[in-house]
Amino acid sequence: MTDQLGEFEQVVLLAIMRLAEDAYGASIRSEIEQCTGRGPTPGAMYTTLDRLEAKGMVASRMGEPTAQRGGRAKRYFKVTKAGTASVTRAQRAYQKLLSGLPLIGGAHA
Amino acid sequence: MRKGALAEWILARFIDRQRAASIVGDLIEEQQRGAVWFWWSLMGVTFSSARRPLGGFLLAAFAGGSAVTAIQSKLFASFLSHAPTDWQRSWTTTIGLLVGFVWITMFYSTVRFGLKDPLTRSALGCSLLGTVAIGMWWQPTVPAIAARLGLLLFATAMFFRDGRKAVGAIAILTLTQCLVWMVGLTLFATIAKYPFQTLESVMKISLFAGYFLLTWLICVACTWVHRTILE
Repeated sequence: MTDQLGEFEQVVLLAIMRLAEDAYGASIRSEIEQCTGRGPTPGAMYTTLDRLEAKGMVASRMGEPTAQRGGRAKRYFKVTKAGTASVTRAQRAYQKLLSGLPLIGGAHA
Repeated sequence: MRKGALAEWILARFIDRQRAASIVGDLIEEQQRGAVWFWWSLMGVTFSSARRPLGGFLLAAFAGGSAVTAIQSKLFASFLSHAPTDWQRSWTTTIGLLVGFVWITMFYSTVRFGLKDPLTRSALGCSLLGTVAIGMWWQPTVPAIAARLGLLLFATAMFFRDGRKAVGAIAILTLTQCLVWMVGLTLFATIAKYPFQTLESVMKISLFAGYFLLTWLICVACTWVHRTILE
């Protein structure tokens, strides 16, 4: 897989990984909002999820309909092996860039 | 819930019903943010989802229509300079029309499903080969080489699951387009007989409206075939 990940794609993938079995649209949005302090717009998020699925980085399955959602099923997402490999590669690159810089825990933290 | 049903209906115009339902379900789950947020978010999702189908439709209508017209006009021009036999005239015209239809499919598929999609790639291969074959029909070696290349590509596609599906999808879509245009032209010819249609402006408007309606039907068929066969 040679596809490069965009910044927001990485955020979405990491949120799905954090949520494990409970990753669906609303929970992913809320997880991103809690971690970054800024919730993505639903339009941007669903477009990104579709793109990641087309790239083979996430897989989705439909859950059972629930009354809380007006009888509508949740679409659960899971990061694939290719997605995990890509996000790991991207994060490693960030870590290399960060190493030696006193940012985390430093004066700017 | 009426709000949810309406939102789902709107979104399902552009994406499949199951996906639309799950997105609306997500928005309903977050409805404590208020009705304005719900509809604003739905607008955002609808716009993001509609960009590709609408862009594909516009490209299919304008570029695809131009391709069909250009192929036919080039063919008729070549008939004047190369004096074809009846047989040559009929096969080049028929193949020219079919190739034009595949161009329409290709343009829509490029925007809707992307360049890497098997349907886009197969349609691109077919349309390019077909255009070359009929573009130089009077040079027997050119259509012969194009036909052999086409057969080779067809045989190669048969070895792959996605390739087989894409070839099947193109065949279905081309036949659908033949049917759609035949019905459309018959309807137009019937309507044109009525006296109120003699107004030039009315004729032009109905011709354009009919053309866009037929192209839209083809785009819907393309999405349906892609969803049913290739996904």
